[in-house]
Amino acid sequence: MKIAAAYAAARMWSLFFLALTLACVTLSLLVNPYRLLPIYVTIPGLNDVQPALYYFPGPTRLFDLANRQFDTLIFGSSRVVYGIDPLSPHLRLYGKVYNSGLLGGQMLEIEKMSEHALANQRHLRLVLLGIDIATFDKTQEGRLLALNQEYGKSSRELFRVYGGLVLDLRAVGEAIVSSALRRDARSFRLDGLGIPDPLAAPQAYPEILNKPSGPRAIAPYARFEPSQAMLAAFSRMIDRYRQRHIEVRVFLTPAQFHFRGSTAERIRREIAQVIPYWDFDYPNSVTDEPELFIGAGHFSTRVGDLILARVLSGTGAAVPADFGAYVTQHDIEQHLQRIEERFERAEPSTEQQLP
Amino acid sequence: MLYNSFEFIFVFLPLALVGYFVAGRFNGNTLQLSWIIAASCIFYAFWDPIYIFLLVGSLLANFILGQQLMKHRHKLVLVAGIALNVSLLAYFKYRGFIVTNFAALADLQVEIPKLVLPLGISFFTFQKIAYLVDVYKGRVIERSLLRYAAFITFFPQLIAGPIVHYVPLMRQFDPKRPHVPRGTDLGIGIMFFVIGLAKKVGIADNLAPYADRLFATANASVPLGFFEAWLAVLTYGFQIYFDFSGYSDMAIGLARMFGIRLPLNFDSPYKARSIIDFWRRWHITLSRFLRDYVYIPLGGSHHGLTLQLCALLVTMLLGGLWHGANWTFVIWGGVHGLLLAINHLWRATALSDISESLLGAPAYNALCLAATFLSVMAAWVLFRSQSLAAADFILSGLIGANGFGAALPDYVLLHGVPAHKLIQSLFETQSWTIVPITATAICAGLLFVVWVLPNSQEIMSYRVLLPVRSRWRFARWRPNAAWFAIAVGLFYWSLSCMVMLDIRPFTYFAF
Repeated sequence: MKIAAAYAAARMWSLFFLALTLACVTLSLLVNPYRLLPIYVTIPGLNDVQPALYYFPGPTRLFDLANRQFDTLIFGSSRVVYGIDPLSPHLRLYGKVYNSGLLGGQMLEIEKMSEHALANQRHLRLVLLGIDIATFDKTQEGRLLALNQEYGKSSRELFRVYGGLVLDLRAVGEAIVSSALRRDARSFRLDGLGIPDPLAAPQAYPEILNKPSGPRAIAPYARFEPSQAMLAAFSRMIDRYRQRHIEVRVFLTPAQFHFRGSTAERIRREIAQVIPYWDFDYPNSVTDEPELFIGAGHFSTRVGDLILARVLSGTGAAVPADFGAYVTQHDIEQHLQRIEERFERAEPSTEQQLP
Repeated sequence: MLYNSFEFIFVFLPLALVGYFVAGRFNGNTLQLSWIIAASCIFYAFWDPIYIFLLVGSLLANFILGQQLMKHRHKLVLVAGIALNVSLLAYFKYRGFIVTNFAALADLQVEIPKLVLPLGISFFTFQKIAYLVDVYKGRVIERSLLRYAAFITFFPQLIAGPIVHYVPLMRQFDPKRPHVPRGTDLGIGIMFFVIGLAKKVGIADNLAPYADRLFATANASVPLGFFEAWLAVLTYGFQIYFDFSGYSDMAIGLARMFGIRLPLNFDSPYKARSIIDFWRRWHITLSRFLRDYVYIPLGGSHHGLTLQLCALLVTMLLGGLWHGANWTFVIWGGVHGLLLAINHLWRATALSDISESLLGAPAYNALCLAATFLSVMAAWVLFRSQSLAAADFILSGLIGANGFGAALPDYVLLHGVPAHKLIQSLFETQSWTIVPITATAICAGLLFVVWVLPNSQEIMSYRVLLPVRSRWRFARWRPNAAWFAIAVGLFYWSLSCMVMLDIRPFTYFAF
């Protein structure tokens, strides 16, 4: 009798465990907190707000690159994330556009993201690469956020790595609580910037526009050395696109503070040796307008549209004449001289904070 | 496929289990065996489909040899079978090692293309050899290819053991009584699997970045300081133990879900009070294989102490070489052989009588435990290092010969670190700014786990091959609410570790 009871208890114990696991898996698949599953159903009050997408966007974008097809990809750092609108009218002729910018993205990460794109994107025609001088910061070499070097490139490999995110119960819980309480997921960002959907227009909170935070934003970049590994990664990345006959347009993004000095000059020279690029990172009539920027380090989509107009239409675009300079390896020295003169004329306080 | 992967836990395993029991219901044992063989082949092919041909080819060759042995029982057939298996292993695992060393001796420059080591080849080779010997000795008389294929491919033990013999495993697949799902089997299996998963992803994989980084520093010809060297040794010692014993627990648990009992592979090896005791507790099925198929055929303990010690040394050198094609593994085996020889010599002298009388004394026991533990830890340096030079950088660090400073630039020791940072670092497993604090705290906790707490089989009251000696009656698994909460907690903690950390293969997959 005792043995029979023990067997029955063990059976119930196992069934409860399996039932709970099944319930958790079903709930995770239903909530789909990182939107990694191809079939996605929005259930109001359950998964319509998904904080995980905002605090862990790297894998989400990577998985999209492995599973969906795009005609145009935008790579870059947080400036690109916040400032470039994939639905911009300037990109209308360029098919399906995806903004795969990474927060704090540095060149090794961007290269890794780009490798995944090259391995999986069959219709890719154009790549826009929006970088800044800090994208080559040596101190960031060890950081490969979500993009480990060893990961494979195929969708199956990625799922093996990131499949666990589908079952991230913490993310599932947060999605349910946020959806049920109607919390705005974007407010999870301390600086008030929402991380937009890669296929939708970025939205900045109006209250933080026009409020440049100045030195606080500059502080992380106060001292840095260029990374040889990152410069090499940049060169490799461009070479690979050339081999695949995919057009690449590179631009140095603008902000309320600028990178100046020998480090910045060296990086500008290195970029020009690899590919001609558009430089927006110097004092000009657009950067003189604080209301066009989000804090000191990020630009709004209005600036983003001007950048896209300049990069995609060249000098014929209807943008302020001093906004954006096309730089090649032949005229890099003249360009450096010209922007140095602009720096000289700019506010001394801005200059002193530059590396 | 890895046991610690999402596709295994949530896709492969449920399908394999459901199919297995459904097959048993409709067509009995034959369909069940066919299902488990098919599932095992998919499991193996998931790693690299090409090598399934190697597995199946060598399986068929061994089966044919086994049939010949059953008919004629010629020693020549047995030797040919063993030679075939050893040749395959040598080709895939030792080809580069042998040629490189011969080329170095002959002062030649030879380029050998690297081959991918087929997963589990070291394990299933031993299993096939054990089968041939068992057939030769008349212990196996079955002539079913299906059952032989199930014996070799049964996926819970295919990749990294436990190394099993034909009869104990296959008598559990009773042709007249197909397995049906049983609550106790599922319960014990789930609990074993969950404990193993937590050991692997919760402990071993969390320690791996520390060990990897410190050994990589030594491999890059940077001598490690005293604290770094000890941290390297302890983190690796715990990593490999929790990795492999976690794997073994998972294998036992998986097999049990299918109604099969696999032998134990670990019995708290770090609780050993001598090296002899250690090898009775560490990788038990390999130790038994080496004892039965190398040590005893070499003479064992029946031809005097000198020959016994020589047999022991040869066995351990081969055991070291089995782990990998590198001199560091051979020397690791040799060091353990020497330690075993010293242990046997000690037992042969009058001093052993004194030590026997002291066995009950706590201080003496602690001394034996510490001496064994430190010897084993020091030997791991050879096992983990890529070269003898790297091993030397760490071993000299262990005795303070490289000073007490830090070799890693971002490796800040205790001085000048504020208290709140220390506490914070305990919760940041990969924070390299104050890493010694985190790792030291983890190591101290793990010493308690391996020296004091009961092991998996004591918790599960599991007896196959070993009597379970446990003073921890109250800690035994019961199908109750408390153990349900523990199982669920461990399982979801492990899953969250799998989400946040890289999924790493088991250390022994490489051997």
